Amino acid sequence: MRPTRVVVVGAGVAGLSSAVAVLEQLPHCSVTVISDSFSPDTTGDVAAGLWEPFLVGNSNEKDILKWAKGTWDQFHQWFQSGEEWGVRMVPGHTFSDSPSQIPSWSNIPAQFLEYSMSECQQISPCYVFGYSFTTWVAQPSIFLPKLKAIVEEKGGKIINRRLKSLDEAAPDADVVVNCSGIGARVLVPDLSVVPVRGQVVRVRAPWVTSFLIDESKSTHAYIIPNTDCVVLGGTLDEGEWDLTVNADTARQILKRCCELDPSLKDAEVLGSAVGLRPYRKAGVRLEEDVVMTSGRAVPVIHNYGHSGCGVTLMWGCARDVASRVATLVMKAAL
Amino acid sequence: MALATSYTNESEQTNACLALKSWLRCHPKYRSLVPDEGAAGKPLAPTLAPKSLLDEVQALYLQAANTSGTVDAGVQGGLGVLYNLLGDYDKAVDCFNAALSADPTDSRLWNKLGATLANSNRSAEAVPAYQRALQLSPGFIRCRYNLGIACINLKCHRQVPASAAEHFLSALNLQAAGRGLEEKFSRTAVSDNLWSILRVCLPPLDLTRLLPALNNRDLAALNAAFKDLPSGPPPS
Repeated sequence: MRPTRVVVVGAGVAGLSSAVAVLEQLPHCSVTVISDSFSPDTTGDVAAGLWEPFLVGNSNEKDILKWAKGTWDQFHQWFQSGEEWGVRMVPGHTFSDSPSQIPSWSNIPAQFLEYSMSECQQISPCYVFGYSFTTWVAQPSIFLPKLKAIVEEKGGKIINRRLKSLDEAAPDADVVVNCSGIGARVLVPDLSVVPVRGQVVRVRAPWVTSFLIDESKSTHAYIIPNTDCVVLGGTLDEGEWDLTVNADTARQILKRCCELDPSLKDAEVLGSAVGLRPYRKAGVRLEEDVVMTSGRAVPVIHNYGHSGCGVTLMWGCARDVASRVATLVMKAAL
Repeated sequence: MALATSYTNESEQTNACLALKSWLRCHPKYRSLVPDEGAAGKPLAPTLAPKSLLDEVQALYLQAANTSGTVDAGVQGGLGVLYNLLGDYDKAVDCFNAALSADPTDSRLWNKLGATLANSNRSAEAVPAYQRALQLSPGFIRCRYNLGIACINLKCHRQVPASAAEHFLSALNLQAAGRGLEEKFSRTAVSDNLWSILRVCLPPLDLTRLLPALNNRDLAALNAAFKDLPSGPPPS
């Protein structure tokens, strides 16, 4: 029996995790990954990698929880493997100047704790709402190259090529998996995918071992320790495509984060980076579709529109993709 | 006919057509319909058959159906396989129904009817056909595999019912016991498919703890785990 040919478009966190999930769950499939950018140049490489369902659009809440839990469990496995996956368990705090609800995902992380108003105001008089939890931080610039190596080890092919539309991926495919992130806007095309530009600064500050997020609208900022640096952020510039680092913005991020944690003033600045979060108002698009190529209808599974939580959702979504590939290729036998 | 069916399952159009033709040629009643072919023509690609070959085989079978007087289950079954090759599932369903009216005790025909219905998005109708096939031949591995797929598809690709996993598991057990009904169907391919699909069933059933057993293809451990499950009706 000829192996089912699966072509994955995209080699970011969504694409490579989907490729690995297909290869692991469906060993009789052959997998080809086509992308024009690879780590360290993907959107995920810019991300701080904190497990927290953040900026998810109007996705179905049950789906988000399922996908986020799938990723949580996978990070746990990577952590326990003893290999360097760039995964650490990090405690930390989130505060805001406006009242809010306890997030729906609060029972997934370890030790989720809501602060009382007076506890919040001990931190800063402007905070009225806050909570602490302990979560995984996974650094894509460390785990993406490992995922790519697994794809190749398991016989998958990696092709560096820029596609102009999705059907260009289809001629040699039985199933196309579309993990093109912000690229979905052109490839699908899906004009509801818009960039929410994020700029971050990376510093060396090994003494920072917990995360701190200020979710207040006017003073939004975060400090998130990674394996080999601390990520300071950030911006949420909707509709902005500019991938160049804005020096003014970088200074503002540093200033704001030094206010949150004054010890950062001594930190060595390693660099700045910009990524385009693939925001989709309707939320994550993970569903079946069809693309036509020379008269043949090729099934597509879309897996894009992860907005601000591509890392948090990646493994749960990848599993879902693999299950859908499996049912698509299941034909009854005469 | 079994050969033609297997080629059809593997999407090898040309080989399936040639097998269908040689079934007629070997049949005492229809031998005269098939013209003698001298030296073999130029070799054809096994997958995509030229339209002329598909048309020729279709014409031969229609002619055979007309000459036989009464309904011949073999001819109608062959025609059903051919319509599957052509992707005309509605006509294929008609043919298998006609064949079954002549011979309702052929479990293979019931499975072919079920598979055709399932592959044209009519899984709900496929299930009773599979069940008839399994009543007639409880050891029909391919049919049990198909029934598992239908169970998954009926749940709209989202939730996997425990019954699907049980069908796949019992198919694996039948295969391990060497009690398969069919011989020509590629054993390793079915087996790989069964293991892959069972793997897909486990996470939605909250049975990921069985993944190590699955990776080791440890049938005994899986059987033991499934025996302890509070499950629906056992696979018929």
